[in-house]
Amino acid sequence: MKRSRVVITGLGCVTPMGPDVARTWEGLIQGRSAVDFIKRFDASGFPTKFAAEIQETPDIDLPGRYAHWSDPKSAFAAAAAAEAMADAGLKPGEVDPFRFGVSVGAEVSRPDLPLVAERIKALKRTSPEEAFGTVDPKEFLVMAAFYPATLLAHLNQAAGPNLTTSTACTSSAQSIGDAVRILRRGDADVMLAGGTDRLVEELMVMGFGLLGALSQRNDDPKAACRPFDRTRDGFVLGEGAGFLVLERLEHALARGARIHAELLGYGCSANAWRITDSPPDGRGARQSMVMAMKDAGLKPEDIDYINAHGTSTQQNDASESAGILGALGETAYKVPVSSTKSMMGHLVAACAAVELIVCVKAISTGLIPQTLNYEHADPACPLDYVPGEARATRVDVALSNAFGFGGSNGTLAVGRYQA
Amino acid sequence: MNGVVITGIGVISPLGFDAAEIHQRLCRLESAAAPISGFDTGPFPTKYGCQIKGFQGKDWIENRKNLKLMTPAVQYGLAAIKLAVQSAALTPQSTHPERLGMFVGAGTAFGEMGDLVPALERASVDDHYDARRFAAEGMPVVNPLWLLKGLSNNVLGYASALLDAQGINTNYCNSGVGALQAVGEAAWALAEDRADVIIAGASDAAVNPEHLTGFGRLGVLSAQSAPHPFDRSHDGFLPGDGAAFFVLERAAHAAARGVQPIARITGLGNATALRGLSGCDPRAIVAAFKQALQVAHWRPEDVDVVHAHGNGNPRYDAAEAEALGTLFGAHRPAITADKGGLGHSISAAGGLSLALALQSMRVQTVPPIVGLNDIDPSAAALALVTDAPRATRVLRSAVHSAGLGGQTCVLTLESLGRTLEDA
Repeated sequence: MKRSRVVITGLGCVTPMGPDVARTWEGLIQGRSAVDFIKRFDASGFPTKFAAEIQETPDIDLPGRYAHWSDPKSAFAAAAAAEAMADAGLKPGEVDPFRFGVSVGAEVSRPDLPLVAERIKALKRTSPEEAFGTVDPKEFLVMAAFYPATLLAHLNQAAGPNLTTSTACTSSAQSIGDAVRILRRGDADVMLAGGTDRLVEELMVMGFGLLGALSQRNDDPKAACRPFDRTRDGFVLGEGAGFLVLERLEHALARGARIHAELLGYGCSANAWRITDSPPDGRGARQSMVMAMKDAGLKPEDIDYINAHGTSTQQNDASESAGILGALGETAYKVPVSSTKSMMGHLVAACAAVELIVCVKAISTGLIPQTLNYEHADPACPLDYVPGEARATRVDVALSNAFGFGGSNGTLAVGRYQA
Repeated sequence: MNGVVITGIGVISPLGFDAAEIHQRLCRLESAAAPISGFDTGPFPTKYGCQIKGFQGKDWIENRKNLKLMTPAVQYGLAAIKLAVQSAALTPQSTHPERLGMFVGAGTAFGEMGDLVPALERASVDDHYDARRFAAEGMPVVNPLWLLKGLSNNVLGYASALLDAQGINTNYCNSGVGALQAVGEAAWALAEDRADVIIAGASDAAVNPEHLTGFGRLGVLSAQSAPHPFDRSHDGFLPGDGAAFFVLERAAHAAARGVQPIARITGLGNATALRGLSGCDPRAIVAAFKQALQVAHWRPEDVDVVHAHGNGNPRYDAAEAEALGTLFGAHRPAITADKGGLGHSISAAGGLSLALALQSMRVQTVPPIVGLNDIDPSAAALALVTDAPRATRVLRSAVHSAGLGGQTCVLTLESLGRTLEDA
């Protein structure tokens, strides 16, 4: 059976850099840092006092009751998905509902710490029965990982396959990979795929801080995220959402849609190692890239750009570099590799979707964003990390990597659309 | 979807740790529903549930350091995976690690807020939460690995490392369809030649204060001491705990290592109900069945047995009955449901139903719907299996499950056992 080609016809995102694709891309090309001291809560006592926060609340009016049935991650998702739908020239109801699906990378929402404190205090004051009666019934549903996918299905009249993937930092690579597989086998014509996450909150700053995963460069937050630089000391929390409209090529052509790029391949592997660590030889990263290239029918020489996972932890960046070398061989030295996390932080469940959008923009504009703060070469990271400024070069094919806690790895291959 | 077979089953359930045992006990009309023990149900309107009894994590998980970081649902999942691997006679030599994958459905991870109580008590100034105080006094008393216990993909993380499964993988947190989506997408991944073997299934635990609060406030739980799917007295579901995992394999790979498959996976259908926020819409159920049948190249008349979602919610039971009536018309396949005996273990529920569907094929007998005494008029047209097990031809089955967000999933399977040769 000949499989369908899958094309990207709509892009949308909400990031710490900006509330849409245009402003996010502009910031990345200018080499701005969206990292700053945390404003949402008093973080002055925490070992890490900075993050890449969403500054502008997404401008989205949720209709009717949905305005009340929402939380930050759902609002990010709704805004990014609305931009992607508009960009694709699609209005809710225009696609056959049962041929239109949703695939989201997301995690369960974490309650605000002051709220948890309040609850625990309340339990001491009132009877448990009374405390039960005061819990908002909406909360359980809205905070669930799957809720953004439910909300997007409703808002866009998408009654087809509905999936939620929760694999930490790899979530949206896999959610997009599933969407590609579903479209290729013909179970849907259009998929709204991406991811969303909200991370700048006490519990995450504490939890990742206790694990020693966060940068503690409190004297210079904008220089804190420095992927592949020898002096890197951990990742920087970001947040936001990215969504893409993926479509079977025939469907896109039949409705005369503008095609941004073709989604060529999906690769996925597991480190089978330890929950938080990646193997030093980068075997899982290598395999993920090899599988994506095989799925796409690509050779190492075809790759013009790699948007790295590049978290700015000692371990990830060395392991990923080894993985890129393993997958591409000597060709790896000629391929520009950059991490846009250097500018907008780590969007965790949303990062792969937003970084795939970065790859699509690199193809359409001929510009590769830099790795901000890359200054000191590290022998464990021997590749071209695009230091200093954005680079003008033709990009026909790009890879985007995502690797996560739990050991899942995902790679998406995207290319210039050719009829 | 060609050449994908099931070669192993592993279950951890409130009615036992073996598919044959669960099947037998349902055939004897046993239900695991009982007063909840282990925590105070005082505040909750629902005081009954289907809990797993006699399970000790240390009997199943060797690494004691890891065990301390595992919630009950994670422990059930790892135990079910162990059983599935044993039942498929899968060894480290069976498959290349890069061709061994894992697809998991998981429940809601609540982040273990209870573990933060001592830290929060230290963070209080004049009876108010103080952020600086929390950072200075509270954070140092939190277990540095606290965040890891709350990761939603822990079954996948631990099990892939344990089995050296380096291939394609994922973790769905997608309410009630987790298990069937994991199995169905794994089957497709095998059909796409992305792996030779994939371990797929789900685990979840719903009998805990978090779920009793959440589901209780949403009003979806039964107030009775046992659930009654498709019965006049149905008023919701009882929470359950459970895990079910399966070894899925490319048929050629199973044949090469000389393993007799139990069944072939033939189809997967997905759709979403857009009606209401915990939607039930017969059209979505019909669409998911139709997609699965189309993939399987089956007509509705080919289906012998349907393992229904049957969650005992009056609106959902009615929607499901209407959809099954629309789909099958006069054909009337045998319809059973297991939540009366096992409760609703959310993401694992479809996996337990799949395990029962496979066992029904083995013994050519369909278990009755426990708790169904007086069929609700909305389900009157269906051939519901009541009162006693039904011996019948079980060659082709469909399993249906649904999620709180309207997610709807159908998996179809065909027996490859002895009975197929006899047929």
